[in-house]
Amino acid sequence: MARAIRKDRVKTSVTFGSVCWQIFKWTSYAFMVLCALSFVFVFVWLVINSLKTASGYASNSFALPKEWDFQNYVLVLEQMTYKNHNLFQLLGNSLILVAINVVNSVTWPQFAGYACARFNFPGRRLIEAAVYVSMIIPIIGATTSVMQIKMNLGLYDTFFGEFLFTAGGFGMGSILYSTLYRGLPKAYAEAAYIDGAGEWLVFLKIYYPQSIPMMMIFVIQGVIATWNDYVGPYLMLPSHPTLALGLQEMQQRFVHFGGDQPIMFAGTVIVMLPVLIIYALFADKIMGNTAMGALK
Amino acid sequence: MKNGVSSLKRLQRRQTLFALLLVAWPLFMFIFTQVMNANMFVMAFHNYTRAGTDPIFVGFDNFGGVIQMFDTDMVINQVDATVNSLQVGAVTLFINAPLSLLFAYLLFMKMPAYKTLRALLYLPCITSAVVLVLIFRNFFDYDGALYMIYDLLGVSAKFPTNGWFVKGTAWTAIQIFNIWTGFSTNMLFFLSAMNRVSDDFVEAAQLDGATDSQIFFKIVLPLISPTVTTILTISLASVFGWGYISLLFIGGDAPAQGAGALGLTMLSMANNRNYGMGSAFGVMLTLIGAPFTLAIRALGRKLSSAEEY
Repeated sequence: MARAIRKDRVKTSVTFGSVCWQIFKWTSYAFMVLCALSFVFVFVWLVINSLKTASGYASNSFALPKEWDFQNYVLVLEQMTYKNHNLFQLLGNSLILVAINVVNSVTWPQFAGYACARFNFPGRRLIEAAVYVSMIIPIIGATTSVMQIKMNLGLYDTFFGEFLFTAGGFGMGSILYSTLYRGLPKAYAEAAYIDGAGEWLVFLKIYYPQSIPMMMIFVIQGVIATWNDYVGPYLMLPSHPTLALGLQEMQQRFVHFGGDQPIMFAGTVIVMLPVLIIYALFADKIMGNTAMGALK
Repeated sequence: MKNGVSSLKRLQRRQTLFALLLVAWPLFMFIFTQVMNANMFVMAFHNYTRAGTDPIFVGFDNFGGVIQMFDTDMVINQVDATVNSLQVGAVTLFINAPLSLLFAYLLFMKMPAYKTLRALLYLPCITSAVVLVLIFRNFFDYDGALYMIYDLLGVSAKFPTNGWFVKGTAWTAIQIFNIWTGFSTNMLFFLSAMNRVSDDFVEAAQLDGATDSQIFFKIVLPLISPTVTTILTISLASVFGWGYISLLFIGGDAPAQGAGALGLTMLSMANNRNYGMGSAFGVMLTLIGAPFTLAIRALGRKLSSAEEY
């Protein structure tokens, strides 16, 4: 009898908890949907207002344009320049920097993370501890030091210098890859060794593919960060300005000399567009986590 | 037996060599980076008056100058900036991190339209901060969209007439921006970790009658705790360098509008070529931030029940 009562109590408690959880879950879900829609809304708002006249924007930014003014996009092509570099030159420089970032982000952090996670080589713990400490040294303080060393090596204001100085490996990426690889069973490697596989084969064919979802996040974040970076090219590549510098320069001209906000919105859309296209094309690969399926 | 031992040794030697080969270049660059960072410590004891001239050794003068910046009698002081930086940390830890975990779990449970929502929620990560700030500012500024809504609702009088980016409301607006755009990246990392949790664990728990919340707290969270600890440690470590967003929103006037931060102070010093003071400021933040970050990581590891899966 006593057991039945206790069971009954437990059942009541669980049911009440379930109801609370369901309320919480669906309220949270509604909030999540609102957040997602807010991002869509602001982008649609931006695009619509980039197609308005200045007076059309000032009268009501939420209304659809009475006349669609595509002229803003022509005007912005003329206005987005930086020190005698036109829009296409700015675009080219941005693409070179993005390519450098991609190559560096898919190699060195992986190597470092994998080695630290799977092998007990001499100095591993010391390196890991040093990496953690190094991550909180503010980079602003070291900027001038980097500039001086680059100049002394003849690598300042060159893409090759950018390539070498961003080809690090140890940092946030290596720590996260290391965490990921530590979580993967060692049995995969042991089975491959029995089949005669070498270390490169085990790494590239078994473990590396499992990091693809995380790697894609790093790649896309790296691409976006490089595409949008203003301070880096401004300080380190003054002869090779990027689109971000062009947009900032255009905005500064608007601030100081005035201008139509819709034209600035059109410039913003142009800078955003390549990233949005890349995202639309590869969203599934970035988000899907499909690479894990094969081994589960 | 002897053959077994020697082949094991051979395997260990091969693995050590392979590991050293993998870390050779990253390690070289890491040491090289530390040399450049160490130069910052040297610069903290020097004054850089003019370009092209040798720096002058000034001892601890730069550190004294930094300490003076914390004098609360000054209109713009670093105590306010420190409070703001700590608020950014609090938002990261107590709002954005739980929100990231919650959204990641809702997506992990495959709620309706989860694929579309996942793609949309990641939009802030693929968008330039300059663009996001530009849009947000156009909403919260005095001639912005939000004020049009205020007018329609007849509540304009309750809000600052010069827009939100003035003293008193600027920092609140920036924190709203931080929350709005701050959960996406970590959400995706948490979701990626959750997707690695074996279906068998979840299915077994469901068969035993576990609720969604029990599955989250008893199975998913413990299994992804290494990732959660790492992400939070890194997020909190970056709090001391935070300041770029304030600069984008308000410019150099941000501290006067109550939107200063320690990272912004460092940025301003570098921008004003105040290398000596900037380096001293960086050194002091490092000495405070390093033990703080490592302590959080140690605490996270202690609290987590990490298991290999």
